[in-house]
Amino acid sequence: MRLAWFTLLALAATWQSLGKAGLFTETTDAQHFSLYEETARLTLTHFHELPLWNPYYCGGIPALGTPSARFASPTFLFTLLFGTLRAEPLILMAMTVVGLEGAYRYALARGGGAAGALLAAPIFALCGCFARWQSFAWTNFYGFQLVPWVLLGFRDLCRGSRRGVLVFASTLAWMIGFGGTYAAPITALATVTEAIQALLARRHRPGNFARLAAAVGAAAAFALALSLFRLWPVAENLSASPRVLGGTEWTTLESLRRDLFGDPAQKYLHGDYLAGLFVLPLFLLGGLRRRAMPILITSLFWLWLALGYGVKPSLFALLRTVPPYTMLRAPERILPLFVLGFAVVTSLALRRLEVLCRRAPTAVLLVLGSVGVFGMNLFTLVRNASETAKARTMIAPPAVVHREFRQTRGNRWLAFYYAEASRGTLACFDDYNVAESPDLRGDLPHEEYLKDTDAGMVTETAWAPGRLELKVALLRPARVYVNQNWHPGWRASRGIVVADHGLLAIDLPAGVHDVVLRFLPRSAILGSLASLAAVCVGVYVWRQTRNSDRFGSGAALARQVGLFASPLLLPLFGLLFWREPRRPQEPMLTPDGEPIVVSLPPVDATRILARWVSSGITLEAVRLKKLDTSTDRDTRISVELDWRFDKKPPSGVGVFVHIEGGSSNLIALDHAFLSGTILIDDAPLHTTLRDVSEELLIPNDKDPKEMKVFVGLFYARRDGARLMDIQADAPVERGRISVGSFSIP
Amino acid sequence: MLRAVRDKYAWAILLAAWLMAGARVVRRPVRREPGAISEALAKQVYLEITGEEAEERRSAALRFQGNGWSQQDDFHAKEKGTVRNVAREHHVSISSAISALDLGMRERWPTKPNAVVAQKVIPCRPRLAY
Repeated sequence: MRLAWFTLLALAATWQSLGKAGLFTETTDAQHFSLYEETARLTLTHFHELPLWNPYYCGGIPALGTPSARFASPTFLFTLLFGTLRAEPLILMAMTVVGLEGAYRYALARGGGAAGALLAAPIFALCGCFARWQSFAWTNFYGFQLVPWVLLGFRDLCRGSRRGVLVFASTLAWMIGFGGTYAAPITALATVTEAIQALLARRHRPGNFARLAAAVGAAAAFALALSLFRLWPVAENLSASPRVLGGTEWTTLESLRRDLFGDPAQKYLHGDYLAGLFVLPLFLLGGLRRRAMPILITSLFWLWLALGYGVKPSLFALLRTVPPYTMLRAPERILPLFVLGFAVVTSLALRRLEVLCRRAPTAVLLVLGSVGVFGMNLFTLVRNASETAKARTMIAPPAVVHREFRQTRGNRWLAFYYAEASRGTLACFDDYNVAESPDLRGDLPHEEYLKDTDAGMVTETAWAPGRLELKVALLRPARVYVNQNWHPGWRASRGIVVADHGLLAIDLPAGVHDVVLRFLPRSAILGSLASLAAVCVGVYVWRQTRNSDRFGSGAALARQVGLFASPLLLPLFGLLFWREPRRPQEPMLTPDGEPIVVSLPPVDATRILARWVSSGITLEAVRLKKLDTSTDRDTRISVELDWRFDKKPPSGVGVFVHIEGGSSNLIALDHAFLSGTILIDDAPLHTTLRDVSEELLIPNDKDPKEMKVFVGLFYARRDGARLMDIQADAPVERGRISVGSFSIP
Repeated sequence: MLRAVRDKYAWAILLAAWLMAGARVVRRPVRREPGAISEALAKQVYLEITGEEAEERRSAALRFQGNGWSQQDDFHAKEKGTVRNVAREHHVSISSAISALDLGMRERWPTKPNAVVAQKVIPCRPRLAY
């Protein structure tokens, strides 16, 4: 009956969205999120192969390695049945039911009582964030609906339940498969707090620590194995093309209050993370209970994190020093954890009143009143979901054109249109530095070609996203180019696969060849095998738990731990036999194509010799160069800074360049890569490193003007503070050095 | 006994809710954008969209100094607006305008004087901070 009620609630909350099924959300992110899902669907249904490679975006990216792609999840069945756009609201509805049931079970496990848990579950699963994310088509963010399940599984496994391991690992793997770029790392934080609570609960029984450690270790290994099909490709992809993130995002308590409890002055109660205002007294009442204490403490941590850099000391800043949280932004996205805790505490309040009824029957009025309050809150949450969905701008979906695949220059702001027209868009965006060849072209008559055109000819005989068949006739050995990105997972039936400036290419001898190029990456294949093995182990353990759910102790415990960890042996053995080529290092060249690492600064550079003493960093010289490409209308310049690092620089340091003067606004060049290539953290020591900017464009004014240039260092990927201990002959002010000026005609 | 009856009703409600959701999703006919337009019109659309490129790129270069990828991305944001405007003016769909742009670049259709139509792209390098 409960599940039926939850389904009805989810239906009500998504009713408006269901009515817009099949239309396309007019937001920027919808373009690439929908593209990831649609190309996975096409690959499976049209080309009958597993979606391992996505040639439709950025010139080709590993599909499973794309962090925010959501197709590796059970919800993909909806996409296969109804199509990408029609399935979207059904996925939202299904995930809402999952979230409602999970929140119910979690609140119950926390002592909320059946009635309290039932009434409090919608506070989490219908939270305003889910309505908001839907507006941006951030469907993969619905992975947050799995948070209570992961925590529930973790609580159970801490108590020695093997089913707890299964629930924990399977829901975490689902979350990761669903593109939980925020949900998974944030849930990992919540899991740490659950682990601390479990440890504290056993502080008087230290003998149980070993058993707890064994259970947690088994769960971690099993969760890793179960999600390896996705984690490995994503890790491989991000290590090849990392996300280097700066910024000091922050918010205020007042803003968080509005997000969580809405603004009563508005037409309807709306908040980006709306938990509801009406249940606030119940939260306060529930907070008085001893059971609520750990939840309240962790909730304070979530609020502290959510404030980002807006509070000192900043917990978020500290978190950002720990990989993989170095890539985390938007601190307010931690709020769903707060909302879950909030919901649980309100359920504790109702439970308290229920118990009170036994002693004071008149308290039943309080219970009824509380139920009414929950009802009013539920109404506001459903209304918020409805009104937010109503406000979504939806447009007719693009035309579908089935034809030969070609890369185009494309446009990431219209990416979905290109994919639907059998075109790949080279111009793209995702939240990381995509490993993309600069030699890709959007105007080729054929996607496979020879640069040495006299050497022979290439004909494409069959095409699928992860499989190309070519007929190659060569008079002499030659290199065949494919207008897609190279990846270590590409293999050829003939010849040698090579990366040519990041482009996929095959070296072939003279003669006539039928070449089959396949994309079979080790990470996805071995990772998937490990996950499959983990599924088998999971089924076996589930059947065993019918008799006893406990881990046991001694040898039985060790056996169980070994069983849960055993799927990881498969990829470990695989690594011994399956070798893949290494990704070639990006050439260390300036934008002009000159070497970055040199023994001395260029002779025409102006010597500066400014030192950041404690960091061992020296700015040796500066060159401000007017470029020949300047016109009557604009002056084009480049700024070269010549650095020397005598010890490993502080982690997260970046360079800022300010150019001031004339009628132009301040030109700020903040960067963490020298010449756009070498991350400062990884800079070679005891040599000169040329940090040349790309071209700057300065409009010529009516009157000549003098532009002054200032340079400094700052914690670009930390709190943004400037490094102040500078020794220099040049003038220094507020952590920046005046390094010169140039005039604009 | 009571529980069995209750469960039966619960399953019926659950099934009915999903059927309603499914029906609501498939019931609505969705018309995709039309795709094909005449070659003459496509050439005109191509001419007008690419005619804006040089100025849009300059404006993007002024906005994101020294950051090639961001300049390109900002240009593409502007190009999206141009595509939409040109499509609206000629009463064609965005899909048709994009198709014209693709074909025009591939077949080197005529452009306005001084038009610059880049065929290569700068690899995705998101900014340090947003």
